[in-house]
Amino acid sequence: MTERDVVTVRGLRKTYGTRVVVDGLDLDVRAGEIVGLVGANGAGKTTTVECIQGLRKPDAGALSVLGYDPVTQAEQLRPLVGSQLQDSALPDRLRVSEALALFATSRARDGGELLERFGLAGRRRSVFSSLSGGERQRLFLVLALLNSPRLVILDELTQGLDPAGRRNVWAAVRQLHEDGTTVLLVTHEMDEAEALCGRIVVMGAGRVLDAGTPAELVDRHARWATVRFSLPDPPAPLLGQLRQLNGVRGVERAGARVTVHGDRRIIAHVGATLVLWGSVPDDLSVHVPNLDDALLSLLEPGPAAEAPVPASSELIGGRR
Amino acid sequence: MRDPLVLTFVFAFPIVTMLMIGGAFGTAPDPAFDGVNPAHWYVASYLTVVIAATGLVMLPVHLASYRERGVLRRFAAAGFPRWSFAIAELIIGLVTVIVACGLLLIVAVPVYGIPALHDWWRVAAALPLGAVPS
Repeated sequence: MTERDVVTVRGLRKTYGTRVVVDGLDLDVRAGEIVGLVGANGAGKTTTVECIQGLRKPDAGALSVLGYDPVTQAEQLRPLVGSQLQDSALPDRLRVSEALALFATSRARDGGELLERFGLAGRRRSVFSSLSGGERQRLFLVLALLNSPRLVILDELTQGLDPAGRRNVWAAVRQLHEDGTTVLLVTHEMDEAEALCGRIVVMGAGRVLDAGTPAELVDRHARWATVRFSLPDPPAPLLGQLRQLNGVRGVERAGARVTVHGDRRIIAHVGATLVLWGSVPDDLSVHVPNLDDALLSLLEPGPAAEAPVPASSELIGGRR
Repeated sequence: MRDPLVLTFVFAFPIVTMLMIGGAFGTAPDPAFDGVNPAHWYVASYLTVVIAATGLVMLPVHLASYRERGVLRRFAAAGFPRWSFAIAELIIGLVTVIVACGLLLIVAVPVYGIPALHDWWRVAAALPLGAVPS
């Protein structure tokens, strides 16, 4: 472990009864990173972060968080970690201002400024039970950031937030990153992971399936793009030329509708070819692979994820 | 004090029930109550209702609800020792019992004329000792 390692997990294993939830997981989070932990439901993400926070005792494995063992040194560690937990709550009758006073330590920053920043300044006197789902999420974020933590763990950060609220919270996370805070983000939202995380760890069945930057994961697991357009009676020479383009894996035709599959280079090639033929369709659409596709490919490996060629239309060729 | 459940079962229920039962049995000494004024008998009984409502309704409901809704986890993650929550609830329970018993007596004294205590220190010791286990 180096000075830059904030979280180091080796061989983490956790079972509930006979069900293995985390199975030999290795994870590193370095100082200043925003690392996303993504995966299907039941992949073991929340259990992993609960072990990292010392809320659950692992059955096996070695964990170090900010140089402390979360199991035996939880008291020293917890003041340094801010967390926003999935499915947690506060006492119904606790007021927002009281929650701030209760959770503040000697390292606490200005709670009023945080409430202002997250649109809760007008809710200081409100009790927890009267807050909407989005307001509760924002309050948890305020509490997570209140004591200037060195590591922030955010589990399902924007669950229940409207689009404006999500952007607001994303901006706050980016600000944390700029301030040098390390963030471990558990999420199901791939657009959130893509927007915020410098590195993403994909979990499945309690193990790490792959890790890398969003671009690396897309490159490795969802390289294929699709271009669709319509031409009345598309000429056979044009379709033949499309088949020969660099990166094309297949060309389909269903009536006037033409679909070209291939890697991302085909987007430019198909557009250029259509212009050269003087056939510029007004309904051309492009599907560019994204992190969602990469995750699907990782979690459900199979022909559909590997090569997006529908079976219900006439496949007229292409190079593999 | 902000919880309607506490206000109803710990503060209001024992007083209202005491007044209803006391009204039914009257205040004349009765051989069925060992020659004691029945109202006095019931005032003492309803002090135990306060303790039972606190120990068997308020605290268990709070603790079960906090556990189920992730409140305890939220506090644990913020660095509060788990025992601190139990101690806080115990103190709140004891304070609630004392305040609710005081209110019950404030209502009972003018209505039923409660006799003076013979043994203050035993009552003071018995109340928390009876309340803590419940």
